Amino acid sequence: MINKASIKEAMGKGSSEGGDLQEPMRNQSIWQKLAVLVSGKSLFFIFAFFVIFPFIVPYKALATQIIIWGLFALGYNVCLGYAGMLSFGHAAFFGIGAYTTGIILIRLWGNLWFSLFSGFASALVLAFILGFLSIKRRGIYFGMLTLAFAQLVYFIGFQWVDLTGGDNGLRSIPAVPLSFFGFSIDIYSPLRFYFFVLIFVGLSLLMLNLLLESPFGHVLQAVRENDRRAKSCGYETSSVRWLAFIISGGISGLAGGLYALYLHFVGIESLYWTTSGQVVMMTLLGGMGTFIGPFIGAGVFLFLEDVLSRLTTNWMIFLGVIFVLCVLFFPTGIWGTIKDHAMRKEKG
Amino acid sequence: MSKARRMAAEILKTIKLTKKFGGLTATNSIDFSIKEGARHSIIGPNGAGKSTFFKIIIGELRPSSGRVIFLNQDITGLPQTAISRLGIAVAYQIPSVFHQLTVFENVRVAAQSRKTTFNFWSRVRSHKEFIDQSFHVLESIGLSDLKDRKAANLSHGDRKRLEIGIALATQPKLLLLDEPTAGLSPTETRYIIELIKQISQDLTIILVEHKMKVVMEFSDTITVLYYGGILAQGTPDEIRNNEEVRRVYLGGVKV
Amino acid sequence: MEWTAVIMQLFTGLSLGMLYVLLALGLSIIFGLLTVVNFAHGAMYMWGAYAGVAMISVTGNFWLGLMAAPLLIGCYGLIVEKALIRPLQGRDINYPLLLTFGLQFIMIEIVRMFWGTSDQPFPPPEALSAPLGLFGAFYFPSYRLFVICITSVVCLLLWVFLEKTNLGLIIRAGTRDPLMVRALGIDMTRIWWIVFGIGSGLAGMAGILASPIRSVFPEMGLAMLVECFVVVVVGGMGSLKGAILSGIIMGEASCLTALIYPQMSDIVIFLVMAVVLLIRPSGLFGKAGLLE
Repeated sequence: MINKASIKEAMGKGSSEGGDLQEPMRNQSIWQKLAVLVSGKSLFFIFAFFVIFPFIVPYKALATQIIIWGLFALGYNVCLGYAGMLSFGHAAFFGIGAYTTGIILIRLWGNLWFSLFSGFASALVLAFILGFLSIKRRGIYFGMLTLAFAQLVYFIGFQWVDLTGGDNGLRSIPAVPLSFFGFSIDIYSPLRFYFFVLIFVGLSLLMLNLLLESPFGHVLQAVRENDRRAKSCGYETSSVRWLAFIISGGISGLAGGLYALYLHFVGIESLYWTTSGQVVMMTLLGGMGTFIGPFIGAGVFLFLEDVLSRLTTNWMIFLGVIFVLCVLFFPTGIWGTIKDHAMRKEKG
Repeated sequence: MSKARRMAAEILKTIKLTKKFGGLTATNSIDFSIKEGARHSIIGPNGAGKSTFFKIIIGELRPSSGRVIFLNQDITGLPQTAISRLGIAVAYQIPSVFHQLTVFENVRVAAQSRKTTFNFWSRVRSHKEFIDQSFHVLESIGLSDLKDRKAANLSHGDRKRLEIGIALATQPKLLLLDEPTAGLSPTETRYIIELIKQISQDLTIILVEHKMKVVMEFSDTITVLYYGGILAQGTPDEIRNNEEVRRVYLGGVKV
Repeated sequence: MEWTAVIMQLFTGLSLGMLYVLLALGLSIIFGLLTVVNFAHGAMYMWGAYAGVAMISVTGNFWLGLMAAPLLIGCYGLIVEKALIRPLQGRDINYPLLLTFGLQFIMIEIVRMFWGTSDQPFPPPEALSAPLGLFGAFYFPSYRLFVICITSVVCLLLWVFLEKTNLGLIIRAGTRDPLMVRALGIDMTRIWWIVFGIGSGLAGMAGILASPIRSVFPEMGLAMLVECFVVVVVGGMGSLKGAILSGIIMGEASCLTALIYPQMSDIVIFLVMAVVLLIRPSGLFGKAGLLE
């Protein structure tokens, strides 16, 4: 029966009784524990893994590549998985982050923090602008617009040879030491650089986790699920998606900046739409409906690329086939499928 | 405070509200008014213009001419988001919920809307007021047991209840319900009738319905629409006995 | 400014524009009926070119290649639709997009495997290599003239097909109201199959037609695909009239800009798109709300 008192309180007019509204603690079975771990909420587990990660891959630089692209994919997933917008233009953010970081280091000021921050900021600004132009449109149209605008950025980068090096790319980005409080650390040995990047990746993971658990994060997902209903609750849905797009772009730009530091070089292809495509593939491969999935997708993609490219120059076929198979049979991606499986086991 | 003693102020008024789609006049110069706390129903045959009128009130359509006044404020032409924030909520006929979110999250995200949109730096779990409010709404619509179930996995009847819950969570002053009992069994229909009777003690309800039993039992006043205009208005008894209404809508049958 | 140069560029722009039109028509038809964005469209264009390369290396005859390429790529489209796209029916509309997106990379790699990564030489056929004189003053490259003529014929045939045949009627109705058509008992799956084949065939034809005037290399479809998207977005998604008008406009814009300000010629189509979308968000002839 209907609880009359509850309705009054629901309307915000009654007195709000306290009472513990926390979830009652249950005896958690092993499967429930596994589901918690698997759900990616266990950040400690993730961090521990990252610490040993460079030691379990064939060579340390691969680990660095994986976490940089993983960060890119994670940022991208804010747009795709959480906001529900399929963007094909994120190469623009990755690329502008890379170029800005590199150009500042070469021409302006050899300060690591400043250059990385500028890369991040430049991507935020670009996402602000491109988002404004694209966000009112949704679905396929949005994807086309992002693709087209990103190609515009590519061509501008290609033509502006003085600034970007054009087709030849931005070369000889200096290996600036990390300096703070008067200390200067050379971070460019493979292992050191990995941990340097890991700091940023880790901070981003924390920030993103907070974002997705925040009121905004839930509004974002509601907007993704049902834009019309969100509007009828009073939410300005295009503004919500715009902010998500900006954050997504910013993180992609940060990944780009880190990549510039990693390679000491920025290639023009980092702005080309195939780079956008690559991050889309990684995100889908790993699982766009999960938090850590895109990261795993990046890892699997790059690992496979590394292994397969030793066997054949046509490794892209295999990755393409795997991707197509995923779209057909494993749309929730690797991590999504594992999660679903664990959840089913838990219930069964 | 009982309804009788409350000052019955006018909560919603439309003045010569008209909506034309090309050559078709869906809403024809409607002068409509209801008092705060009213239980009001709008009925009429298909094509009478109920859903058009409905959509104009909630802001999904802009009228061609005329005005809509809500609590003495002219809300004509305002976007849907603004109208929601002023205190008008809607429960759609086909349940429109957030499918991949849990029942609890569905309600909470609606509850949050009054206080915050862009807060991305604090955990939503820490906002106790949203949690409290959501639990109360869930209890009132009877979905507390299902709070962790994904909305996509609900039965039709439960989803209709969730639909109402989402609307309630936004703390509206005026609630528009579009056929809340459509597709429900007699038991579920009974539940909804009781629910909206309870809710109507604290806010004004406009109901669009086809089931005459529901309309007659719930309403204080009824408006009958016909070809975009008001055919008749009055108490259930008056409408029941109105010859014209009987002819065009009730099929000559005494309801 | 030399007027002869302008006229030549207008002419060149028209031939480029007609290639855009062919591609855009194929993409639009597929999208309009199946609501599938064929991201492999550029790769199909590329495969059309390489089908031509293969035919010519086997038979030495361009004309055979020109007939075979669209047919081969069209059949390939039929296979793709049945095997890969049909299973995704009922899922979110982004899935076929993503699938065709992955497919194009497979298609590019296959070509790399057999033909390597460098440009393929592809001279125009003998009959069309001499310029055609007009008014004694202008000498138009015959091949480009041929491209304009044949693509116009194809557009006309397509129009006749859509307007005057029963199948065309069903396709037009299905674009406008798919549910209604199904309710009439017409099996749309076969129609989708055919339309996807036609769209692919058009892409393949564009590919072989383009080969003597643009370079032939495995990635040739990548840039073309983006340009094709821009054309379709400006014309209006799902609109055939829009595809034709927009294709010609973009071809002209690109070539005329190359005359005045060469560095901008790649960029101008994006600028045109931005302007058009600000004024008419659904494109020139698009329907608002189509899959927003």
